[in-house]
Amino acid sequence: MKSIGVLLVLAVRSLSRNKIRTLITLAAISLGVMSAVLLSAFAKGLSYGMAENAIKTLTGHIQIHAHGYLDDPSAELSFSELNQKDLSALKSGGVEKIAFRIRIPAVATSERESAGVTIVGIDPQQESGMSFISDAVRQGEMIRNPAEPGVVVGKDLLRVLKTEIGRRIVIITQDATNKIVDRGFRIVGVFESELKSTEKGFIFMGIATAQEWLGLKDKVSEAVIRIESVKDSRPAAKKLGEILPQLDVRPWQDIEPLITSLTQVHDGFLVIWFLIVIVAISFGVINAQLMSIFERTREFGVLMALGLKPKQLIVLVGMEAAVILIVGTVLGDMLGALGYAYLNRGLDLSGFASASEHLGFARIVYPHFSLFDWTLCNVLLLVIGILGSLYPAYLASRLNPVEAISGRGKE
Amino acid sequence: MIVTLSMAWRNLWRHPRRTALTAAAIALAVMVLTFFFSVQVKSYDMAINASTGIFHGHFQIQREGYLDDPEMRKIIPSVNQLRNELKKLPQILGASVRAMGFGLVSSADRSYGAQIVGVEPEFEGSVSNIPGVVIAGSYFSSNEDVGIVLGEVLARNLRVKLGDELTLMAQGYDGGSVALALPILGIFQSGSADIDRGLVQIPLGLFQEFFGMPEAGHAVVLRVLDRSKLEEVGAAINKIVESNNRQLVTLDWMKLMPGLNESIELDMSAGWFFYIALVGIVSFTILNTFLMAVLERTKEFGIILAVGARSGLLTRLVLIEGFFLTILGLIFGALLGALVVGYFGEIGFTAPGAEEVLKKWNLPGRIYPEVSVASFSSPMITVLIASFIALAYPAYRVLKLDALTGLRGGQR
Repeated sequence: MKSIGVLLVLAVRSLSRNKIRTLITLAAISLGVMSAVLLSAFAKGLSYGMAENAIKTLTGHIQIHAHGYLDDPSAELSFSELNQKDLSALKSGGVEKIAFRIRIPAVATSERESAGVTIVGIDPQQESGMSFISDAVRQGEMIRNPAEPGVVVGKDLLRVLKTEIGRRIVIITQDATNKIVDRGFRIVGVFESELKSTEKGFIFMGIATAQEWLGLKDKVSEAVIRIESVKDSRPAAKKLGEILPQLDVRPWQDIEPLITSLTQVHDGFLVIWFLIVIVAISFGVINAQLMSIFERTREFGVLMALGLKPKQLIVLVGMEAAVILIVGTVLGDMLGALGYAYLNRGLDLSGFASASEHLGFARIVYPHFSLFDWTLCNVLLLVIGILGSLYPAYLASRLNPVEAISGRGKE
Repeated sequence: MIVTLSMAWRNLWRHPRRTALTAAAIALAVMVLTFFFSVQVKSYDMAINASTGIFHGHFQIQREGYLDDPEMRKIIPSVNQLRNELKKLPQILGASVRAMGFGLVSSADRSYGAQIVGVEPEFEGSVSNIPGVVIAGSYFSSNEDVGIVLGEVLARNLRVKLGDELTLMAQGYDGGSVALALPILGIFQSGSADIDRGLVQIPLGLFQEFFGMPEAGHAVVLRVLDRSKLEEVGAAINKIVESNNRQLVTLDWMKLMPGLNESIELDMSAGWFFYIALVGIVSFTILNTFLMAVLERTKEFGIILAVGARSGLLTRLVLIEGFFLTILGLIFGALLGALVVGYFGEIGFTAPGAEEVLKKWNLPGRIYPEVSVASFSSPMITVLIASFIALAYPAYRVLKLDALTGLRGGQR
């Protein structure tokens, strides 16, 4: 259709004729788009932050355990470190880094207090680049080798146990044969973490020390894996599970069900909210278009008398809506990008420290741009907005030229 | 005045489509806000009730500093006397003494660290739901019972069943270690993962004997009749507590569970961000409608001014038109909101993944929102205020209009 070009010019001109109305409509559209973009960035940032925090704390991308360990994390349910054949199979399955750990519940006691903890036996070299602990020690020293006799505890556990660095604590747990064992360990380092529950919950020791103490020989409780891209955790875990059918291979999503569910809830909520915002915007756009065609009844009459077909009139009014929607959306996206850049320094929620502890999110939330959400809200707005504008367009197309020119074609 | 009112009403219907659309936009905002408010109000209420009801109570009396640093030594001496005094307060539904310590709980082949709680079998049910959610065996019937009641997850982790024997090992009041073997009398399922995984209960008498702290406890737990009167009840409680022992403090549920309280605040603040954006979009539509309504009538207003009306009258006219339109939207919005809330109140509101998230708040997987005064009044007031802000500029233009400019169609 050659007339499209002409109609576009007409559409832009008629929009700029009533500047104030067009500006207000643009403001409504861009406010809506901006809020949608920012909300998506914040919601995604919150759940990505939680996932990232968990992955970096101890979860990793994929975990391997003996079957049954996740329900009953005991020394009894451990497995022999993987042999060369398995390891090279894992490497070819996309594994970038692997760390073996002992991880079992225990009770730690000082002279004055006791607390429930999880002891984590690690190989310090394997943990670097894998978990937070390699650079979280703020006082004293990190364990250097797997057979070192000391332990590293969290700052908050130190407070709970009323003890200090250099002192001994007694750790009570069960060994590989389910016998209760206890042993004194010297605190050589103190780590800090984003969440108090992490500081309170874990005691790190050398993996060889733990294996020797608990009679585990070369056995471990878990293997934690990092792969190239966190996005592939689930399919990669499935593939590794096929390589190691005798073991329980899980992606991080299974290990942290709360984060997975929260992401799901956010995603669902965002779509609902996008729709609400878009419907509100559409009301505004339709309203503005209605006023505009009402003012131009006479003009439309003339255009029709000159030979503009009703169909072309629909295209004209629809195009006006499309132009204002596109400009408003672009403006909104730009405002959203500005807000995003501002928030990119991190939204400080430390005023809600107890809530962050309760729900397990980081105190500083960094927005996360989601291309999917952005496309969804932009496209939905354009589609729904333009569909809505078909109503005023249809009203305009029904005008009778004679009545319209005489000014009788009013609502 | 009547004339102005009927003029305003008629003016609105000179453009029935525009009025209907604007009212629909207002109604949409009110409906959405009402629905979300209802879900929020209801879920906060349920979360608070569930979290206080399971274990923590509405108030606890403790030694100063016990909450942050629960040392065995921080006891309330002659605790029964304090409990009796508090129980006499008219607003108190239940009062019960607890003593708490941390220990190692062992079965034949598993051991876990757990909170050991001494409870008064007679009164515990008046402050906590746990006695009512025993799924195997039964709760203690008297302070003379010798046995243990524990959470379902812990029982599974310990691989034990009803009647099996558990060994408790802990540090006693004087610092020495103590050990005790007890049969399992009951297993409870509270729905709170932390409590089901990490808590065992024994009768208070046994606890006092076992840990060596006769007549003493660590907390008096209180449940009140009406949570909305928390402050005045708290003051009454505090008076008794202070006269009893200056080293004791009265803690309400917000202090006992700061995480829950703050999470609610955070959730509400995040909610307002959404609401303000939505109301803002709708306000622009209102502004557009009224600015057009004013601009297109410039000549008409000029005539009215020319025949002697004061511009205040016209301003009032525009404001009343706006008020009518907003009220129209509010009424429709509230009706629609009531319908939506009523519908989800019947079938329950849920979303994919919600179950796991709601569990964190001790909530069931579905929320049944309710029609309440708060959840209807706040959206209506918010939208009303927003619409008057939007009306300010059109009204100002009318106020500044003089007859001559008006007659000329607005151009100066």
